[in-house]
Amino acid sequence: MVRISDVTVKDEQLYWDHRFKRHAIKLLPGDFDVVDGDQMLVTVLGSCIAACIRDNKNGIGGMNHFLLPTEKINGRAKRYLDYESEATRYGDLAMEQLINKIIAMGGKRENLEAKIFGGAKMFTASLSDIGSQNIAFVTEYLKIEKILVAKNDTAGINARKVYYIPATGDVFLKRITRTNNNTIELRERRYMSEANAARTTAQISFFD
Amino acid sequence: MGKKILFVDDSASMRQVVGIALKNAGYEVTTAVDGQDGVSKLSERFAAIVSDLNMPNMNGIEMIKAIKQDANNKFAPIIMLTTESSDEMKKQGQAAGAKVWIVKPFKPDQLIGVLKKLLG
Repeated sequence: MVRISDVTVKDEQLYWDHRFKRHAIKLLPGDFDVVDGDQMLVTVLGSCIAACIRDNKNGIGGMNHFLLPTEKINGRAKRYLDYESEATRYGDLAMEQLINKIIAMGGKRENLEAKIFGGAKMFTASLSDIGSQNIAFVTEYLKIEKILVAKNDTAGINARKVYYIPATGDVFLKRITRTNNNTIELRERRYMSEANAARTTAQISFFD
Repeated sequence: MGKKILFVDDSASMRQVVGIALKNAGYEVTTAVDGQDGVSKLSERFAAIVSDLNMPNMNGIEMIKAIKQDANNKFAPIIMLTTESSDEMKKQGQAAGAKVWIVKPFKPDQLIGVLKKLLG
């Protein structure tokens, strides 16, 4: 299932983090969540992007974890406003859902600041240039929305584990050097095929 | 002159995307950044109003209620364009006076299709 329309974090994604001594929410590809307490959001990124966005006055904020569907990029997603592109609509939704939820929970648009991570060039050839397309997309999106980018740790060849505490804006970043374990790649590939299959056409209801 | 459409969304990118699509389809577009800003534009008469739901200052539902009190625009069809897909919110929108509910993501052609259906 492609989780593009709801906050769908399940119970098993919640845990007590002993090292950081706080409640944590582990986000998987396609997830997003927003918190208004001191919880921490955690995710592991390869080619995917995580946008960490918060109201820098009241600390309400959250994180998403997404990847533009590649089969539909065709080199077009770099131009963010090309809304004929399926990839653009998908990425746009990933960003808008996060921002909407922050605002619905009491964040103010004018106070939003972003920290962006991921977009690594890693693994096998077919996944290799996806990172840069995703970085271009999120960068342009935030520019148009006039959301300040307070930190940008993207690209490179290593996967990242990101710990984000919206209440304070603190980020702890762990670079993951290449291992024999290909869990990250497999997870991202699975998510990418879901994203490619997702239809970004609207449901329309007429009220009469 | 094309028919006048008011488009209300707090997202700058969405205002650009929808603004371009509407203009390309021959409509004249006025944009507003939230419900309050939308209400402030009601001295003009619009053929239709397209609006987001979750916005700062005044949300889409509150704005619909205000539009329905406005002599110039109370008969203009209102199209909600939102990420919100719950039946409960749709019911609230319908009760307030929305005519159509479109769940994002959408294709620009779909919005134009709805406007053509409503406005001929």
